[in-house]
Amino acid sequence: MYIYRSTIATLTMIMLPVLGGMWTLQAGILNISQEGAMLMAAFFAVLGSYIFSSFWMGLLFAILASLMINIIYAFFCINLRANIWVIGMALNILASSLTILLLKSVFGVKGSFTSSKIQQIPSLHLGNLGPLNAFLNDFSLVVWITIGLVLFFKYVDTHTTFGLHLKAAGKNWQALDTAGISSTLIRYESILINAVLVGIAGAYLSIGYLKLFNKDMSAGRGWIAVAAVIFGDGNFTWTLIATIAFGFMDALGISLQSYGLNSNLTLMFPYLAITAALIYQGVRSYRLKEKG
Amino acid sequence: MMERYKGLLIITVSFFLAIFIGGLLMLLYKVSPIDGYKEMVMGAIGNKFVLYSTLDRMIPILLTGLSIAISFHAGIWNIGAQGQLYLAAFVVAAMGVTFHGIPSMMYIVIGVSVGLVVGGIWAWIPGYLKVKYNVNEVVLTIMMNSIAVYFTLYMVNGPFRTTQGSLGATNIIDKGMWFKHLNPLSNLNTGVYVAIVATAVIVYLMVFSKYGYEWKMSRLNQRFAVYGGVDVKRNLMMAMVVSGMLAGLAGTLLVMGDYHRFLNGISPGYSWTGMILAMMVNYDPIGVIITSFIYAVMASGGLQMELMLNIPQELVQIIFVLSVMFVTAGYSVSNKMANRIQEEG
Amino acid sequence: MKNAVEFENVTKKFGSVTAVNAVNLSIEDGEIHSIIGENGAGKTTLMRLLYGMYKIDSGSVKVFGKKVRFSSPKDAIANGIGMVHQNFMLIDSFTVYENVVLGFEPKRNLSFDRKSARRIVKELALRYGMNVNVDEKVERLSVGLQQKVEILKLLYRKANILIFDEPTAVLTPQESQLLFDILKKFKESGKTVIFISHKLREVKEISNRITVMRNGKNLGTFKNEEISEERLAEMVAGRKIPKLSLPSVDFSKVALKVENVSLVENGVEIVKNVSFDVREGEVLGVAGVVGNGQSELEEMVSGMKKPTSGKIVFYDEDVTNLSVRARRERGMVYIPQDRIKTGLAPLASIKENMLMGHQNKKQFLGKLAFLKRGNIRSFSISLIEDYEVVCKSPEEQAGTLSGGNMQRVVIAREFSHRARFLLVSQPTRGVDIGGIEFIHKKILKMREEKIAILLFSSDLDEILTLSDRIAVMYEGRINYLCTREKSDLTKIGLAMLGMKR
Repeated sequence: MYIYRSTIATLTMIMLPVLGGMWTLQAGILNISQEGAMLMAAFFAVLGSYIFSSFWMGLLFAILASLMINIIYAFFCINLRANIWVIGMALNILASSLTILLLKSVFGVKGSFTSSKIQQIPSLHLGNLGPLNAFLNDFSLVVWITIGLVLFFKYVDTHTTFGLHLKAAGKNWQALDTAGISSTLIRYESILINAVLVGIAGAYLSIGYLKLFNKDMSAGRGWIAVAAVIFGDGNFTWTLIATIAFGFMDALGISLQSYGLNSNLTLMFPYLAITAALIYQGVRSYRLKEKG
Repeated sequence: MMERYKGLLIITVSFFLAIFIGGLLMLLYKVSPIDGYKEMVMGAIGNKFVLYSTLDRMIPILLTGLSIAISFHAGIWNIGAQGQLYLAAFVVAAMGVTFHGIPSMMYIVIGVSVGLVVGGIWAWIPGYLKVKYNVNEVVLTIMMNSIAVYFTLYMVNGPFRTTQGSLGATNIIDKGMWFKHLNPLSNLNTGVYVAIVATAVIVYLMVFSKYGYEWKMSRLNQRFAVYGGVDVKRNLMMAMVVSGMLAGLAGTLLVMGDYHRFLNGISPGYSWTGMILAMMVNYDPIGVIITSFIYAVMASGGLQMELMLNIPQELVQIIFVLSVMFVTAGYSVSNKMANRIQEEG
Repeated sequence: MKNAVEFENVTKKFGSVTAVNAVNLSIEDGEIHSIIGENGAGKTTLMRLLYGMYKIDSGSVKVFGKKVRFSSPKDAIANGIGMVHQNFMLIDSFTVYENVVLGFEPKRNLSFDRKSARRIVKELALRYGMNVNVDEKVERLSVGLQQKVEILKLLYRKANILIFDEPTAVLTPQESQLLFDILKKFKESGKTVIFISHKLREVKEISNRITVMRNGKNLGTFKNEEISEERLAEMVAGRKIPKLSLPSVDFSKVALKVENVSLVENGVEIVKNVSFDVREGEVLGVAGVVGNGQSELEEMVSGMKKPTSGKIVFYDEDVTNLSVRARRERGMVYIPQDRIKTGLAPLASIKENMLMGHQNKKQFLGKLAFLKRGNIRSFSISLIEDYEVVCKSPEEQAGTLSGGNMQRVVIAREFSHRARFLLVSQPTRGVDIGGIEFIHKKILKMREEKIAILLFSSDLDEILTLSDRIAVMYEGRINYLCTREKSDLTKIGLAMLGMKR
């Protein structure tokens, strides 16, 4: 049961940037700046929630911070056609440094900040559900938002023209442009959606079940999301499967710690899983090709 | 020739623009930019001792920068310098705390070789999987970074945990393995000579040899290289392994020269900084040497700035990121003209 | 008669290059109007200006008498203009109907109404007699069918002014004929057709009026019956073009022998049991519709692909499994079909491009794998002079050169090897008329030096001009092989469609 609940929590944190990243990838942009955007959002969620003692303001601040990173990324990648790695890594470094700098300059602390004035994102208690209590009750609002978004996006992916245009922008942007639809606009839209989702994920990280900002607290979650997105290659179902698998491995690792396994060893789990999955995928498609 | 001057101009202008904006940010801290930068420069190269520290800080960035430069130059994307650095550093340290009584000269040679081999192997694995099975080496190396980092963390908190105080580190390695410090006030050590040799080898490989040419052609158009009779697979493997060896060397020198032990956080993002520098100068090894020096000046000067003027040293990183953005934007705008003409059939 | 389109003093520059220079041109409503000119004459740019893909620098455009200023293709489409591009604007992984409705999808509430989309496209295809399965993915269609999907797109959007940019470049003569029938149907139903081509014969066949462009300028518009093919040719090229002749040679010695070669990829047999030989001093021309195995055969001969079965013998030596480098060392020289994807690194300098394949020669490679920079530079300068490559310096990026000059770089590099066999594919695709003549002469000079030449080309005129024997590939087989004297366009065209004589 503990594994189930912690899987859901981890999964939520990865799922949001995965959903966003999948859109941008479908539109033809691999988003490398997820880690940085998430970190910025986490910091600004704390800031907003601290100043106004309202988690709504925390969420709003988080989304705006994520938007800032994403729009810079979009401008460089779409308008200037810059190398995504240079600009993505630069933004990740920017986020890491800027949050530490702001911790020092705004809160006057090094490394981490917490305060009772910060309001947490509430959990939803659905009343007494009997045996389902442990399965459904007291999950964060963000968890439910995420589940809603997954379903909604699945619909958008297959049943709307927006889904069609996204893929067209990624596969052959000239074809879309000559059909009178601006691929640049579509790409910006996908980045904006991503910014909102990553903003929520960042807020969940710092004020979801904590009231705390730690330096570099995103701790590679953005990268796991990027890996899942690359692994799924724009395909909705495969991306979801990869995310769930990675989220589960992450949570499994954490819960195995309570059985005495070293935490650093168990933290390797999701990465080992991704590596194994990648190698399997590669070798399999190679074999298929060999067979002819 | 024109290309080279254009690049130089863009980098210089961008750098000064970023410095200018950094100066404006200093005003927010009620510090005159002139004082701020003076403190930064003096704190980095003002006397022999700080200069030594700056050079010492430059070495891992230079080596990881060259590591990235060589693999990217060949068109194989080794994002795994961090993991290669960590693993090599750890294995060298593990060896250094386990074996004793080996003659110093020999021990140093063995230590450096082991570091090179470990870094090389950790790069060979994703390289092989890429070349043979077409596995995405970008994701693979990122994942292998985390695996290596967590593995070494586990080892220094588990089997190789120090018995001499602070946590998250191994014991001090055998003295026979030490690169001697050049003076007591800085960490700069005789390992710098190894770094110089390695840099010379890379400059030769990338700029003057046939391999540099074939690598560049493989990156710019792999099909073209195959068509021209280049053994692209062998070349890519070679670039990948050399790249891993350099990252491994960076870790090895940190252990054998600077800290004389392995500790977690031994590379606070050196490899990422190196990667951005390498890309900023278009994988030109000479460019990596110059920019990693400038970066080291800014980073060690930043520390001084924080101590003396109470400006957070992270401001330096922000100036750095800004200059990266300006350079990138500069390149894009100047290339746009040329590309536009190409679009015409 | 009313004008559908009027260009008035239209100019467009890209950097320092003036692609379209003060062009005045009227297209009458309901006519088929051809625009003819060499590559780089500005035809495509002019049409892209009309279609809103580029913005006009100066001058104005009127559509049906109304002054317009398009900022994107959307505006052009709204004004009833449609364009079939030279490189199809299709999304390979989408189905036919998805491609057709893209951008103008029928909707139900907020959803994409796939059902109606399918139905409408199906009806449209039926009405114009196009036999296309609307549920098929575009990547599985032949080039000819893909073009029909492009045309369906225009019809779906109810375009009245239809622009066709070099539509026949990828078609067999028979397929072209079918396309012309469709174009004539459009004209009868009152639509205006703008047809861009550099093939004189086609232009003469279907146009009401013809406009000649050169160097971005309009050289004049003529009624079809008022201008001869010869006069048109002269105007396009700017001078008279001499005919080439093939002196007869003794073809007794076999240089290259291909025996029962097959290739299977992803479970599909792409090349099926192909055998032929090429003799010293002979040009063997291979024709065929794109995608019938020619590219694969070309790559197997060059060594870039290994055949699944069969043998390739070069002067009595089995070279089937030799690497590209080993083949090059034996004097097999290769000019690939796609100079941008294979023959060059467009982002590298001309000098670096010219070195490729030569880098292991003593002349350029010193001790310890050091490159001899001075030699490389002087080598590239002499090639630039000999092959009249127009460029600023050997350090200039190859990708900034014109198509013809890029091809000269490739040819200069390959011909400077000591060749015993020349594999050459699409040597003049996208090359200006002057360049074509230059390249053809160079190839025939190799022929005179008794070098065996295997030529792949989709330009049948080129095949007929240069080849001693002609082979045609269809569905991975050679289904026609005959001397030039006994071949003509009709026979070759039929063979390309899979019909034997």
